[in-house]
Amino acid sequence: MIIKNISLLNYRNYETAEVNFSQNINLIYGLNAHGKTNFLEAIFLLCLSRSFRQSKNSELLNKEANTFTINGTFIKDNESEKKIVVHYIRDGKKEISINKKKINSHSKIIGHFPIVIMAPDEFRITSGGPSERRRFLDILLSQVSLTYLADLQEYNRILKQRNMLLKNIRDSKFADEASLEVWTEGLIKAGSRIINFRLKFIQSFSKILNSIFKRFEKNGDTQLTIESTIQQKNEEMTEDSFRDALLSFRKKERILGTTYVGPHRDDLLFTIDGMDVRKYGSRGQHKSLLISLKIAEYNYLYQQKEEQPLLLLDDCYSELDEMREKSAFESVQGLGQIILTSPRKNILENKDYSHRDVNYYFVKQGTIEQIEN
Amino acid sequence: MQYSSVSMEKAISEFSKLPGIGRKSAQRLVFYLLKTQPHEVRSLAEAIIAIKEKIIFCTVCFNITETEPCKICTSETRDRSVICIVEEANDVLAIEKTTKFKGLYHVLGGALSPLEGVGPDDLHIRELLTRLNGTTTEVILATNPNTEGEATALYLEKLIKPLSLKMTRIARGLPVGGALEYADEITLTRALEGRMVI
Repeated sequence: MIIKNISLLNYRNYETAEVNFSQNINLIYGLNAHGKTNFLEAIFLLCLSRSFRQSKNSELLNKEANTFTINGTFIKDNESEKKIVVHYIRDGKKEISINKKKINSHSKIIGHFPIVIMAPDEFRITSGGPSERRRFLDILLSQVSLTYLADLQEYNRILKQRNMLLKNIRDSKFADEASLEVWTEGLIKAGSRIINFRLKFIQSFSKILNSIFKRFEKNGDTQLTIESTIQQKNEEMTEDSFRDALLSFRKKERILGTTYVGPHRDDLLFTIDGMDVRKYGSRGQHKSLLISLKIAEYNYLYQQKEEQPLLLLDDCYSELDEMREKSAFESVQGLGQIILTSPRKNILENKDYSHRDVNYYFVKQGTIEQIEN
Repeated sequence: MQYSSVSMEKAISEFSKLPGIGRKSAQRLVFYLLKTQPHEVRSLAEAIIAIKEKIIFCTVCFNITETEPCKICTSETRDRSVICIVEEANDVLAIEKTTKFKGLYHVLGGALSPLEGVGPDDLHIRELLTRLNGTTTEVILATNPNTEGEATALYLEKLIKPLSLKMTRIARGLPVGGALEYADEITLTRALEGRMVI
């Protein structure tokens, strides 16, 4: 899949901007804080209907503006053309349409436009809190499976309802044990489907990750496992384990007014030769691991969707270089369309990109223009 | 801006309180009514007042009605052994359109949702249980197939089970006239889960 063009209206620091992309490499350059990353954010938003910087909709508006619009044209691998429009009015909800047809569910867009992003913020996956790792997992798996996305949405909804009920019980507004039982059953059903899906995924993904990681550290072995509040033996047992875990926290839940165990408390454990990277990893190891993780994500998504994902690199040129030199790809050609940002124009010069066209775009104070080479 | 007529201003502000009607639409409606025949406007006004004065909730099934109990509850031709449980009165309307269901209804008045402060006591569940006496042999759980509707159905299932009545949940699956390839993954999964032996 490639993105052919994008136009912004009152988005971040752009009043209006329009760009046509090449299907090869697109380099957006210019001084920092002039709006390079905003472009990547807008592309990401078209594909997944959310900001990778986890910003609120209202923060995406240009200064005093009350609406923003992003318009993008994508060409899928089967050559069909999809025009996505995201429109937001202050205090409202984002409205999204594909080929002029309004969509009312995220499942109509997530996964149809596979995308992988590498940005400085992504280092939080290996070094930040558990929620960063769950976020990585959920964004990838939601792109891969619509049922996973649906289960996740349902689980989160039930969790909210159940927590509200637990709070009511804690504050002794009413001790509605009978309806708590109902929400608990729902939580176990949807939650177990999520646990099983994650478990299956991690088992195969950990192998892919390790084979890529070995290109960076020949003698190192990396392993990826799930740390869960729920004992995981086999698929059939998950519901029972979940029920047991909830039961053992029965009292605590009622005191804290919140659900204490479940996939919403999962964490990912990265190890290198048995050592917990989150705690003890060196800066170099974090970097090798993150790049391996992103290549593995790219490969996995490509393989599952049978559609070449779009790759966004936010000021990660040195990482791209390492991907090229050590990655699973024969050449950078294997990466499909790339859109990257950098403060300097010449970062791709004197490198082996001769077989790929590079388009250059210069960003300055909320304007962007294509520069002829 | 200010209108030269207080009545005009009042009418516009009343209309714009309605869902989906903004100030501009309200203005258009008022101007339209201004040009309409007096008897037509009167008939509209009477219809609006009748909503509040004549329509009541049936004390048996909690469907909307003008007679007490409602026409369905008193009908001689309905099958009194089956009760179909729905969330809202407009769900009754939807099922009635099919003309396939000949039993009685029970309108809960919503679904369980702690976030919106709706618990079992806020729904017409107690009234339902008192209805499930000798004549009822089957209940159909027809709450919405969303998170809250499913939770409500499960709650009722647990409550009604000891009464050993026949209990069914409406099926969910593929829309009629749709091709399989256009159905989304989730609908298809649910349709496969609920498949039937033929």
